[in-house]
Amino acid sequence: MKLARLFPVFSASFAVIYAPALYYNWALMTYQPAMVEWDFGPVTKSGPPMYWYGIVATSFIGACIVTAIAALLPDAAARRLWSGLTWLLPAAALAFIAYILRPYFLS
Amino acid sequence: MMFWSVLLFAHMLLAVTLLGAITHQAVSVCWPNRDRAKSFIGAFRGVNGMTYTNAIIILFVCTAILGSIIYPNYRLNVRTVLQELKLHKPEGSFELKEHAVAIGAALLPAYWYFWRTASGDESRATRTGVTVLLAVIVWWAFLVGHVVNNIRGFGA
Repeated sequence: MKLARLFPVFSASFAVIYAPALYYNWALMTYQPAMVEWDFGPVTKSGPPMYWYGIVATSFIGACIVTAIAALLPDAAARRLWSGLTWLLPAAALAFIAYILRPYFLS
Repeated sequence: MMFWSVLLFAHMLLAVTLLGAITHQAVSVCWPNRDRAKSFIGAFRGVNGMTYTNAIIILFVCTAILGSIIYPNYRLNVRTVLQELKLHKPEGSFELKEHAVAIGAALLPAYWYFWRTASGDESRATRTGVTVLLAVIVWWAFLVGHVVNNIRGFGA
């Protein structure tokens, strides 16, 4: 069950990586729905670009790396971390995302 | 057009089912009740939340996958209309929804982990926090999807 112990690390780190990935647009790829095309990295062409899939992919890979690093830590060190971070960090990431989207709600 | 409407309808039906399940579980974990027989509210609160876990995970994943298939269509045919009509609040709400759903989907492994051993009290607070956050995400996604669908949805 060691793998399952790492699930909270994956969930929390995904959210922590997702927020800056969105803010700085670290999209791994871009989908161009008007042209039905995929591009590597954040690319703007004619029509609206979709970075969401790329940001999810970036965050997924980043969270996998963080989880792999956490797997190397001894159990005692992992137990010292407060399990509440599992929901607190995603909640904080969502609050940050709401903050960066505030122009939509203030206009 | 028919194909996308069918997908959107299936997405909505899955979302309704997910909404009911996660609400039931969130209420039961926040406000538990052992005596189910006395009232409707008591029965609502008294469900065994653990039995909902796998169904909620499957429903969340299926709803999110359908949503991500429909999403390019929204981007081309709905979001542009929202921008033309200067409906910035629904547009921003949908932006928040897509990010919330991504974070919610990533929360599912932890959600499963904390419900796997739901009998223990040591992780009860975390289990409650994760479940409530997931419920808030599902409610937000559902309400925003409903409002945007009302603005420009089926057959539009």
